Amino acid sequence: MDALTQSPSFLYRWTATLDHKKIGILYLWTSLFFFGIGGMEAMLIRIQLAVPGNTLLSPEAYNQIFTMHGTTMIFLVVMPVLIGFANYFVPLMIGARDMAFPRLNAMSYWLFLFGGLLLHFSFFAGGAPAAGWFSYAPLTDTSFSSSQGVDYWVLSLLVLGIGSVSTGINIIVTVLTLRAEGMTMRRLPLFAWMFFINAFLIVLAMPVLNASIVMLLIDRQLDAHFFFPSKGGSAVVWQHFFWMFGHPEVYIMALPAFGMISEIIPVFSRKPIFGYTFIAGSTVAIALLSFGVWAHHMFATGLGTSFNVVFAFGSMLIAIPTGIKIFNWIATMWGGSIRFCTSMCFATAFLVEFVIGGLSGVMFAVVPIDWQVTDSYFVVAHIHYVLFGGTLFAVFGALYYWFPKMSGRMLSEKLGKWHFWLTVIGFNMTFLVQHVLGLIGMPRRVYTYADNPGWALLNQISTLGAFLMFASAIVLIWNLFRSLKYGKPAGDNPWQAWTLEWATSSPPPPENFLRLPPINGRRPLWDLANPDRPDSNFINTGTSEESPRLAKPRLTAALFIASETIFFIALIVAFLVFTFKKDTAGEFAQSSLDPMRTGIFTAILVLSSFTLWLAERGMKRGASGKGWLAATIVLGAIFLGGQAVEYIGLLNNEVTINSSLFATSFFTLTGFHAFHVFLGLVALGVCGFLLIRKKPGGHAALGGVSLYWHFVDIVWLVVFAIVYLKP
Amino acid sequence: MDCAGYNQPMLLASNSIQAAEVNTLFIWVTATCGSIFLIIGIGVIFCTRRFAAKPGETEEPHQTYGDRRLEWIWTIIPCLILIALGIATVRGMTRVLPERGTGKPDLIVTGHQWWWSIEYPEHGVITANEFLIPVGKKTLIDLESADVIHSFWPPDLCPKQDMIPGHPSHLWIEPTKTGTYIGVCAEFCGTQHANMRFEIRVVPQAEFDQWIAEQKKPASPSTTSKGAELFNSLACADCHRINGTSAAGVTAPDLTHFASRSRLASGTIPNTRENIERWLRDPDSIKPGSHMPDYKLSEEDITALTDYLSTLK
Repeated sequence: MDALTQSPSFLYRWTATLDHKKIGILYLWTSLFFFGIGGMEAMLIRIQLAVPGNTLLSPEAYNQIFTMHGTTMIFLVVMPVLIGFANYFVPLMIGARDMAFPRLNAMSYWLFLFGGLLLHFSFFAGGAPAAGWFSYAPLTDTSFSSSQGVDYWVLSLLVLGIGSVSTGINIIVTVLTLRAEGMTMRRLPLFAWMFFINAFLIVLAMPVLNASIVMLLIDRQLDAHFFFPSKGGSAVVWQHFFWMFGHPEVYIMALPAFGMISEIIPVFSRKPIFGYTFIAGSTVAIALLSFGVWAHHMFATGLGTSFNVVFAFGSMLIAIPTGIKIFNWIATMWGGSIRFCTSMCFATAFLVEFVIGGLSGVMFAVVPIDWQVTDSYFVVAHIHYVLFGGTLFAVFGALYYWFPKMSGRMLSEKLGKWHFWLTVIGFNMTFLVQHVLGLIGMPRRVYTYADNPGWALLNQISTLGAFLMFASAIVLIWNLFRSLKYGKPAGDNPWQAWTLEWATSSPPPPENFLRLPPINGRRPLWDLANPDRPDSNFINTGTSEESPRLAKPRLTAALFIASETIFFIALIVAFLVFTFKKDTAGEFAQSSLDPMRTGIFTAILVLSSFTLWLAERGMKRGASGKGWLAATIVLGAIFLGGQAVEYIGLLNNEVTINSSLFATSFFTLTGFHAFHVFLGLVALGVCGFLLIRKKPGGHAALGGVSLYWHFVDIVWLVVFAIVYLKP
Repeated sequence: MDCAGYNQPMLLASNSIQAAEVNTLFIWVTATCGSIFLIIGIGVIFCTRRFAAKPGETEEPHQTYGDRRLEWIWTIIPCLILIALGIATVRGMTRVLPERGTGKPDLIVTGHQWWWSIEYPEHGVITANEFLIPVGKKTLIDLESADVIHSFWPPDLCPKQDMIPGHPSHLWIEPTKTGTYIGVCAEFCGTQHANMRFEIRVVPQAEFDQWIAEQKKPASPSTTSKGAELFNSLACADCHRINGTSAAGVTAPDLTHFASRSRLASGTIPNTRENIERWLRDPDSIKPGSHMPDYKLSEEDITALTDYLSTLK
């Protein structure tokens, strides 16, 4: 680490860094870059819509631009900017030296950059994706989307998804294993807590997207049958799968913002957060509920009254924990001594804007209203109020709050106020009128519209607002660059804040802390500055000894397994859904399988789990265990061999991935399983290498990999039962 | 694009039982949510005024950490509000979109890229983009799609339902006021999603019956006209159907009573001679990306075809 930080080469220091602070800053700059691109796309959209019948953009161009605007803002701006702040501040807030896996952390960032560039490369490769950011089937079929845009969309999201899940695992392991002494789970700053819970959402929701887009790619490139009704698949199943990811995704974009607000409002009101336990607990409730409301994006698809009622109920329920937070934030301000720096201005505005977005969301839960206003500009208004007025306002607040810590300089308050007012006025001008546009019948995703009374005027107001927002972005960027050079020196704690990141220099040294203050509550620096009235006199946060730090390798493997379990569940569900759709080709494919032979290979795979267990047991007793490890690898390889023989047999019988629904889901499910077996063999081989060469960490690594191997075997037992034995 | 002759979609119009039900619900829900917003907004603004730090203030205010009772209050009250909304929701759903039942539909509307085909199965009538329904009668519409997902949305008459290929859905409309109502496609369906409009005319039963009788009649133009010959020789007939001739294509709008429609290209431009000629000359200039091929017709052929099409009343 020292050689790197002292290297004279600026480029080398930044591209080879494993320091979470530098990686966080890389995320922030890169998301700012993509914010510029997404913002230009937004300006083009608004200019095109300023007058009816406008010819600035052809429909083909417009459809690519709105698709890229949504995809860019969600995956290349909002998610990375939140991850960037988390990267920088979660380790600091818990008093740690870095993330649990610095190399994995760096890889996540470079996957983000690569994924973003890959997506944009599509512009040069025949056209960007143009099927909307949620790519509904069957519009995404090659017959309707013949350019490679959708394929680029799929591939870049896969790349980005791997990076996000890695970060999720990294954050969870960091928080559970690297907290400083005295920093128990109950004393975590709310930003750390919210991102910790958010990390679980990421780890469990992204695999659903990965499974969906993998199936989409197989449909498009291998002519398979998952989602295209003309081939027997189901377009509705695509929607179910996508929104099973998509709804938790919007909470992935909201929870960290809630965490930021929970840091900013207390500091600038000079009071602790009101109702910490309720804010923390309601976050868990939101995370759990977020997996149960996905079909509220599908109320207009004819799923039936009972189905709609259940999801309407869940969607209303999830408003309660969110509302609780709003009241607690206001109660924090109540009785305080509020300083309205730019950071606090944005946090205050957040309260108003997010409530507007949240309430319009509740309106959507009233199903008949949804039937009128979904897919209109009313929903465009809703999403921008929660994502821009909500999340992005919180991000701006966090930027003004934490910029001094990251750079050692203050952002200009004068420019900040200009930025703030231009944003607030511009934002509301752009999006408030869109509620009305939706209510008078303007559908979304249209490159032009008829000259109906009122439509042109409202669209023009909206476009004017967009120009104000453009100006505010210029002010922000100017403020950033100017302050980096000429900003007032910040010192350690310019805001007199109370969490651990302020107990070190600005910016912090490479090892983060020279010395940590004692941690006996949620606000260590408050306790230090106010020994006569420490928080512990008024609120109980438990003892410093509770919340043990967990062991890294098994925890990491468990999280990875949880993520992969979701991935397999998605593929298994797809398999089950499609095998119930009978077609003769499917029955032929099914009868071409040989359960007896596959049963033998299944036994071999189970045996390999046994030999692996023997290997670990032997090592615990001091024996080398390498023989049993080798046996495991051999048995695993034999299993793969058996799989290959089966595939060859099927292909010779003309059962290919595109023969039938059954064949499509069969090859996908067993193919991905085989891929996991293969990766497992590689991992076991690496462990073997580490053990033979007596490198450190070999045993610990094997502990994690063996959990993974057992998992892969259990998945196979489930697959075998469902695919081969069920009929 | 001009829209003379249309009832424009109006905020809170209620020209049918279904639209009226939604609008009543909408007013109540907006009032509720609006009140909640006002309370919160006033609370926030009050805090910014009353608790702003005085200039030069250095003393820390009284530190409060929470209040169990308050938490219960502001959890229970929203719960009660949501229960009320939930009840209204279920009631509204059963009134606006009851289950389909097993009856035969009055209409089958199929979405295509980028036009609408309408069939009255009971009468054996097929048409495209513009159609009539009788006032005061509960009409069952089955919705399907021929290609990608579309969504049938006449905002003044009823809320939308998506048209998903392989997954039929339905709508009920019981109009209470006569008039002409536009509808749009509300699910992004490709290049010309923006120009996929339809028109519903709500008329008294007698007028509806008369229109159906007219629609049932096959086209009776002169089959020896040059335009008619061109229609068949140029393969127009492969895509377009004209009842009473050999033209029986189903991948493009039915043209049997084309001349009785008010607009062209699925609601994009008015149906005038000049516009028909513009369309035939260069479809892409009006609806770029539409599936209508450009046959590079000569002006003569264009005139002949337009003459023929204008006779298809």
